[in-house]
Amino acid sequence: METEKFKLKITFLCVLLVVLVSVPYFGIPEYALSVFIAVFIYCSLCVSWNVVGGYTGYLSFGHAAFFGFGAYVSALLYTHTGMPPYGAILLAGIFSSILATGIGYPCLKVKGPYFAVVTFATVPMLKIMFENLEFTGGVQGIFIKSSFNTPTIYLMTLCLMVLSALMAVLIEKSAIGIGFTSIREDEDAAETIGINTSKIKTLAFALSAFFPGMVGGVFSFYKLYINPSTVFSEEMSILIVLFSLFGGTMRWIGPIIGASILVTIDRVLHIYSGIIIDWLEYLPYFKKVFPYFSSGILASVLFGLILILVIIFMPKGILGWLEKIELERLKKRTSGRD
Amino acid sequence: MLGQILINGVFLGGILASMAVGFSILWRVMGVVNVAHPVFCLLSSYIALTLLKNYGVDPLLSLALILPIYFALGCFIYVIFIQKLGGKDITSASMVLTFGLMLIVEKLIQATWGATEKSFLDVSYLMATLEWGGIFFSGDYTIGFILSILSLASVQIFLTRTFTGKAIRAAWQDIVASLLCGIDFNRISAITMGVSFALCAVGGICMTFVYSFYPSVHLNWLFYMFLITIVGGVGSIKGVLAAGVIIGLLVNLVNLLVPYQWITVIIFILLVGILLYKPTGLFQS
Repeated sequence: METEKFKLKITFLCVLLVVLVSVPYFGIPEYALSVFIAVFIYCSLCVSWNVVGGYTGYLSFGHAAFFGFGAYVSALLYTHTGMPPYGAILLAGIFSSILATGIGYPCLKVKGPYFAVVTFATVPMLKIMFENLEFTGGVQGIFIKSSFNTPTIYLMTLCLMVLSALMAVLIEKSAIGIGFTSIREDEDAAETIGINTSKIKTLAFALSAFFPGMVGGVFSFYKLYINPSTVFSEEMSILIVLFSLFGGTMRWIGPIIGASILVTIDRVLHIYSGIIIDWLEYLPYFKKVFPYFSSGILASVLFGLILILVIIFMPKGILGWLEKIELERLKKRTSGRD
Repeated sequence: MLGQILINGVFLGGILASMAVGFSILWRVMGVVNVAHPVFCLLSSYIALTLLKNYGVDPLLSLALILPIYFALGCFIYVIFIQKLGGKDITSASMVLTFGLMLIVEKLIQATWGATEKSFLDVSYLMATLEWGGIFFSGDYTIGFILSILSLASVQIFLTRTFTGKAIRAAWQDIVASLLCGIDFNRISAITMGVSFALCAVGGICMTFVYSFYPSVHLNWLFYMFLITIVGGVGSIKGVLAAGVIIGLLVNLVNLLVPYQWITVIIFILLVGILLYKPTGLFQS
């Protein structure tokens, strides 16, 4: 029974993967592809975030820093040294991991709100640094001369999502994953039984920064122009946490579910934002009170609300909710028997 | 020159302390880390600015109007959000929740007032300067400092001299014992949150007397506030004031050596350093 279920799951995932790979060949419109790309980008960011935020329980509010850093590394390597794009993207991931080791080693010594605020601060700090350094192009940013078409970018982001999910699965199944969870459950106890927690935490942080760096690298080839204020966004850091918490942080699939649902909602909202704002403007005083209202603000406010609702009513995310339903179903079945 | 820097540093420190004190008390009493604190500070300044621009109300007078509203807002937020969290790990949960609140309030501020930089420059008494012994006392720093000291002193008196304040202190020393004494924890928590919000209104107005402001400026304030809270020790009012003065002096001295943009980077490095070597703060045993 258990193996059958497992086989079914694997088949389902393989079919899904084949369908996703063949999507660009159906000739669907560019905008639909860009929705998929956004979903893949956030999925791999959230799955990577989950390695440190979900498994070890250290809520990092700074994963956008690695994304932005990766974007800059690959753009700089590509434009200044003429490195091939794939090499630049890979190096972006590696440099992000190195940066994460540098930040994580001191920061992971502190817990809870301290850790959250310190990581949250890395994003504006890197933003300021890249705005004021010479070789990064300052506030103007960098133009990247490259000619990847959208289907290629689609496949690259899909590949990164699959690889990051694979990494999460492998971590879950391995002894390292158990080490990570032991830190979440009780760090002192883990230390007592001989787990080198400081090393393991730094490892988790470095692993969780690798794919965000590579995704950032792909992002700069996708947008062809980056500047500090677009790639280093504090809002993105919060959104990564929101999507993962919404899906559920206990297993690798949670962040993927959360990111897929919420990013799709965000994109759909983007299409219909004109209509929604028109409706809102029928409200008395709306235009007077919010003269600068825009679709971006609408999405952010909605995500803020969702974050609050999730943390109050669904702290274990969709996964926790599904689990509860499953448990109740089982309870009903067993209670019917006796 | 040095005297001027010292005076400005101390005054800035007082102002920073008035912004951080509400956050610090709230964290200590309830374990709630309200990262939306600076954005509510910012909101109070925007309200005061609108009252000034549209109705000509003096910022200090509008502060008196905002204070009770903010107290009520704090109680309201406690009842509809924080109380619902329950559970034991309220620190992390409240932090995530207030990150959501921060996003909403920042974006609504942007929707209402736009993203352009604003300031209280056209208030006459803020622009006035007084010279005394070669040191210039500018109106904005001096009035901000006096306001901050008043607010810190009043919260100190509230906590030590009034019955409610004593109940709050009892709750932060030992929740179970305070419950046994018949202290209603929910009521005390709501009042604490209200006081914290009222303090944040004062802090916001003081900050914006000195600095110009735009919707995302509260992120910078968040790091200052956090640094001061940690250096001063969570929940200690005297510690917050001392830490504020230290940070204010430091910012003004560092400003001599490096350009203004890099100060945030230095603040960040300081934050990490303090957390590593003295996470309990300099003023708490």
